[in-house]
Amino acid sequence: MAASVAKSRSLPGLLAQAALVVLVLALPLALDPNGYALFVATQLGVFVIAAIGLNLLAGYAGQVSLGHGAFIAIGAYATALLTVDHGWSFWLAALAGVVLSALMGVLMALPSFRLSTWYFAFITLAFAQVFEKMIVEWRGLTKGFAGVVGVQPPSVFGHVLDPAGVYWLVAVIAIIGFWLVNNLIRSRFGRGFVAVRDAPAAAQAAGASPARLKMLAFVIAACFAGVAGAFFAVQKTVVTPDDFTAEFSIFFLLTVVLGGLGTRWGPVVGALVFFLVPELLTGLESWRMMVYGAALLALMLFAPHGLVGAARSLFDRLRPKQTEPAAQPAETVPPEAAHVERPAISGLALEVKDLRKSFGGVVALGGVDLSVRPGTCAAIVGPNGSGKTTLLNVVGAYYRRDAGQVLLGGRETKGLSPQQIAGEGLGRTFQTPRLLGELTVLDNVLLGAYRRERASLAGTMLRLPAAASETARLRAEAMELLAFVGVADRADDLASETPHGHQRLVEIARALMGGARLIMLDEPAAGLSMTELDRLEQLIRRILALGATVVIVEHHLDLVASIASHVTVLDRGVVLASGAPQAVFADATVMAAYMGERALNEQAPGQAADDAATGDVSRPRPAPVEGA
Amino acid sequence: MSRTDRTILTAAGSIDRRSFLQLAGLAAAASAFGTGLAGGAAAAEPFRIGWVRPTTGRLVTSFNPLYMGGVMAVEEINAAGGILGRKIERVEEDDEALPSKEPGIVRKLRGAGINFVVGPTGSSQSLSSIAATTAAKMIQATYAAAAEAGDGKRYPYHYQLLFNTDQQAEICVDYMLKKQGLKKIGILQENTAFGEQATASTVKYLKKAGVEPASVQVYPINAPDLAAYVSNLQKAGVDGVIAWIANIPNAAMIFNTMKSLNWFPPVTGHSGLFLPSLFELVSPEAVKNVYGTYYKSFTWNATEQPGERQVAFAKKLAELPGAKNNEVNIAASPYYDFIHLLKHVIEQTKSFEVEDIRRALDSTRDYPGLLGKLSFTPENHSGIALADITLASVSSGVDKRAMGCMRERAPGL
Amino acid sequence: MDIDILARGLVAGSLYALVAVSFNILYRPTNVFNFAQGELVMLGAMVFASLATVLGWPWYAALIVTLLGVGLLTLLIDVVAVAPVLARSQHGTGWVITTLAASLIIANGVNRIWGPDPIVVRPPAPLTTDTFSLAGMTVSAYQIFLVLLTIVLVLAIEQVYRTRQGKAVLAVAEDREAALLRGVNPLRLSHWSFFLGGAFAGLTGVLAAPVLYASTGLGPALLLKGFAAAAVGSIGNNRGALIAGYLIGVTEALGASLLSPGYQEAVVFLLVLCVLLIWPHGLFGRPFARTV
Repeated sequence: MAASVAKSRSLPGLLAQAALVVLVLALPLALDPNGYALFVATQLGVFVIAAIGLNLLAGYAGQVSLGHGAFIAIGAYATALLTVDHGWSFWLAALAGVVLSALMGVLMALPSFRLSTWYFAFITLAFAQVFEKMIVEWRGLTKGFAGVVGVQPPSVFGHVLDPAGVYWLVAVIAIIGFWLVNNLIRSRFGRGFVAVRDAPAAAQAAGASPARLKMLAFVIAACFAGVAGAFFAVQKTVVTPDDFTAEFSIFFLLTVVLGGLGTRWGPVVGALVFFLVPELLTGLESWRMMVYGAALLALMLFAPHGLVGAARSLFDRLRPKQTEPAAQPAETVPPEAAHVERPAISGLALEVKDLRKSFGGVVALGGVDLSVRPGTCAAIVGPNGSGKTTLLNVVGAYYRRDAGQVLLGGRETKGLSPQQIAGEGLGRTFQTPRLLGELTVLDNVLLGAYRRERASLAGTMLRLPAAASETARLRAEAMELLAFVGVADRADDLASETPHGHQRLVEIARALMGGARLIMLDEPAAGLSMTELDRLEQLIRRILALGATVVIVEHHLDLVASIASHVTVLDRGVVLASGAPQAVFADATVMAAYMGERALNEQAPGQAADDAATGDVSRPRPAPVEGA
Repeated sequence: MSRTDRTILTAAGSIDRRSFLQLAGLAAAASAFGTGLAGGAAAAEPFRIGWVRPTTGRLVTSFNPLYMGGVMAVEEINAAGGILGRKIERVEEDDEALPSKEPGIVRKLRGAGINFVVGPTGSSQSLSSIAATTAAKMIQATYAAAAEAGDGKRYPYHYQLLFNTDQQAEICVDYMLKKQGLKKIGILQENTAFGEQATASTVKYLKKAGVEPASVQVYPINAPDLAAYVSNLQKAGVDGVIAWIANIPNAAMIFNTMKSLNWFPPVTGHSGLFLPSLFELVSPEAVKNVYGTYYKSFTWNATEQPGERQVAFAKKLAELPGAKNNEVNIAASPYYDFIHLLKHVIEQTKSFEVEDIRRALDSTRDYPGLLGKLSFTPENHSGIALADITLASVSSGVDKRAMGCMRERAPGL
Repeated sequence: MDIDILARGLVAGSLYALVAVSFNILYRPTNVFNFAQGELVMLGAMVFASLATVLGWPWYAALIVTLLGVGLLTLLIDVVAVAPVLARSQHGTGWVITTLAASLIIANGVNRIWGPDPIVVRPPAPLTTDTFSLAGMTVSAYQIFLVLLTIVLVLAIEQVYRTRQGKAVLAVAEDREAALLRGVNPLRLSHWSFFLGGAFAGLTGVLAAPVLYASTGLGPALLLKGFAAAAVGSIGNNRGALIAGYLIGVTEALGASLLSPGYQEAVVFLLVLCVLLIWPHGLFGRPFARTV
């Protein structure tokens, strides 16, 4: 969903939001202060708070957690036990609950570093079950099945809050929480979360650590759940194990899915529908679960972005069509593209010595040497499976090398993570462009600046002036870079809706945005039309002219011959030849190895690029990018 | 997932349960029809009582019979013209037998202007509910055996019209140590507020007699298999088990395990063990040494017979649709006595005001309830006297003299 | 250590291994891990118990109807909930949610039909659940039968994967597109696998019923323990699942005996978590390279 991180804030939208806030805050005036309706409204607010946090975790950062109830339980039990048994004030007890919940968030994040999505989903589901059992089992602490009874409402300035007061407190916290998370998801952290979810390698290439981002998402979601738990205890006045069954955890995820994973309003809409509708349909209570199951199934099949997503696409369909910006031919080069001035870049040297890597028994790199001088363009060519992409991956530390040296700007990179190496000034593009399809082109470029942004987490969430001005500055620079690569007119389009050729250019802009001083391009020309190829060649020349170093893996030998000053030919993991392009391409053995006898006889360099561009190392084969 | 994953095997099976529900539905419809007619005649506003019980969830089958006595009392009173001319109207709320649901339900009843509540059932559910009704000053009787629920200082608006865990524990310990002469006593407890308080009371009375429990096993009521707990008791070498089991499925698993281990120590426990549905899951041989706490007036021995009123009640139950196989549950429930007691004090004070009724209840002495003589003071809201409680044999349920709800006293009582 | 723990662990472990195998059957060609599997096992137990115990059908007739019924329901899950999601994105995890939704529907539907009350299922004669003493262990004839049958079933399934059809299934698991080029119809294979995986889950339920009672609450626990066995034994590896099933069963029994029966889930959870953190692909899996 573009709007999830989009910047546009129309006046009607703002007015509608303000009206909603007023409505929410005015609700108790219309309701019986001791009545059931206010009780339900407060509960709803509590669920919204927790759902906002879970949406950040599951919707944006993509961590499908089926154990969210445990976080809420920790907040609720801590608050209930500390206030009822130990006489703590609500505020201190709630703080303790949030801290404990956050600590649990740290623990829960650890398995997510190593396990794939659905393994992790299972582990969290198991955790929810075990946690429920343990609440009952640790009777000494939790009072077993009966739970903690008699939680008192908090007091503010010496006044004990009445039900309306508790409602207002919950409502205000929910609104503030919504605002904070909104600020977060429009920031570099939000882009980082989406990158972790959709393209972890792109996050690493931009210098963002997936592990850290996951941890951050977990801790924030856990804090929200802890706050929700504290108010859960106050609102219910009783905290029992039955409140926090594994089913409750699943429902929480389903709530967010129902509303729309990774949409701003998803958790709000989801919680409203999921928890309010049953109150209205009390007669159907025993059918409730089946209805939920069926609704969920239908939603996943027909509206993967939940109610909010479905509403939005309906809205888009009903809205009168605007003049299509996509109608103009994709290949026209904006004339001003070539004239964008960029500051000079001091290119990095790359030195690779005797680099070795094997997978199982298969040798992918059998002692490769490569030397690239700063500010030059080196090309790596070779047949499919010869180890070209593996070489890039080992240099970027996406694979751990078995042996050998990699010196970047004269410094050994052993032991550095991909994101640290990216921070050293190594940028890259991928064979299959790794763009975040649900973000705009501009946001994709901004992801590149992840490591350069200085604004703190708190500053970002609270939108402090320093953070806001930094954002504006970087946004301007990203626009400039889009102009530099020639796709400025597409800045606000969804990345998934931009043509394939443009996606490659956006990736280059993203690398430049990250301050890359050495750019590795992995088959940038694959699938490009002749016009696009021309543009690409011009762009690489301009990047070289700025002083950056370029390493290019390419099948398109015309392009290589034209821009590279040095060519290395790989075959089955070893260097077959290396030197100036003319000399290398004149070598018959090279051509034989590269294209086979038939090709040597029939084809001149240049047509080889028409070969299907498949991956070097078995997986993944390039899947068609949605909407491309 | 726990709400749906309980292995509650009320032996009757769901077929019985469904037919029961149909009958209950008929009964409800019939009574609604009746009140409708009467309501046309008497213009007086109905006297509304909150009626908290599960109508969905895993404990529907086990808990619903407990309310039939209360319904009977309501119908008896309405048929006789109501309380001071006002018909009683039950306002049903479904608590799914979950403690977490209770505060919301109390809020809902309170919002509807209701000041008198019957239910919920279960100590955990009740304590959760009582906390809310106490704050809202609503008069309530729950089916909570936990001794805490009978504390009038803590819960001045809640009345306990059944024997509590303290009384049950005293009876059981006394029987095991003195009548059976056993020394190594094991405790098997369900992990609920009832089990918790019953075990605490048991340990208290054992210690008073200078005995330490040989083993205490606590099982979650939703555990799929209880064999491990039973074999732990056997391994600890206990020769008598005080078992705080409140539902039949758990009881069946436990006694079946004892049978497969060929181990039949004397077991004493809660009146819930008397349900005939137990015999559908367990052979009578497996429960030959099992006794439950019960009301003396519903028991016989070689010399004494059950009370006349109780026998009349049993005959009435025999004609009540849906009562079959649930007679003990219906008889031992506090709700029948509570409704009649409520009528008694309202007519005495000629007031429907909460505070007037509370004062009148607090000064009740020796009110002749079905279960025993009921007395309350402002401090003590546990109405049953120890003298009215005894232990009865579970296997006597198959005896002809049982009439559904009567049982033979344990040997020596 | 008490030798009874071993007996209890092996019996429970066999059930977990059977659930894990049913996961594997369905996983191999589709790379989908069906979250509804636990409820399918439960459904198998309930259908069989109703037919055999309540209606008094002969056990073989009840068995056949149960396997067909559960198998067809699982096929329906594939057609309705899984295939459309996979058609949209081969690598997405939308099926986590859709199979979870299927699980919700089955669990609550079954609950509505049967209610929460369990049904006692007696094994067909001459097997009984009466215990006797064997080498110091308290066991029943049915328990011994269950353990042996599990081993036989696992070995038989392994044989199936050696046939031509079985190999096709493995090929699809490796590389769907490549298999497609070689004339294998992955959609048909995945339908078959869902049907067979479902039927096997139903069989597991039937076998579990005499040990655990047939109750609507069987699903979640078996889902997670079955997953644990499948994951620890490496997904797709049936022998691994068998060994891991035993490992989990015995660990659980040990935890119940040494700590408290209430801790058995926690002990299993910690075991699985530790194994997966050290060997993310289980004890018997092949490592594969991360790719960019």
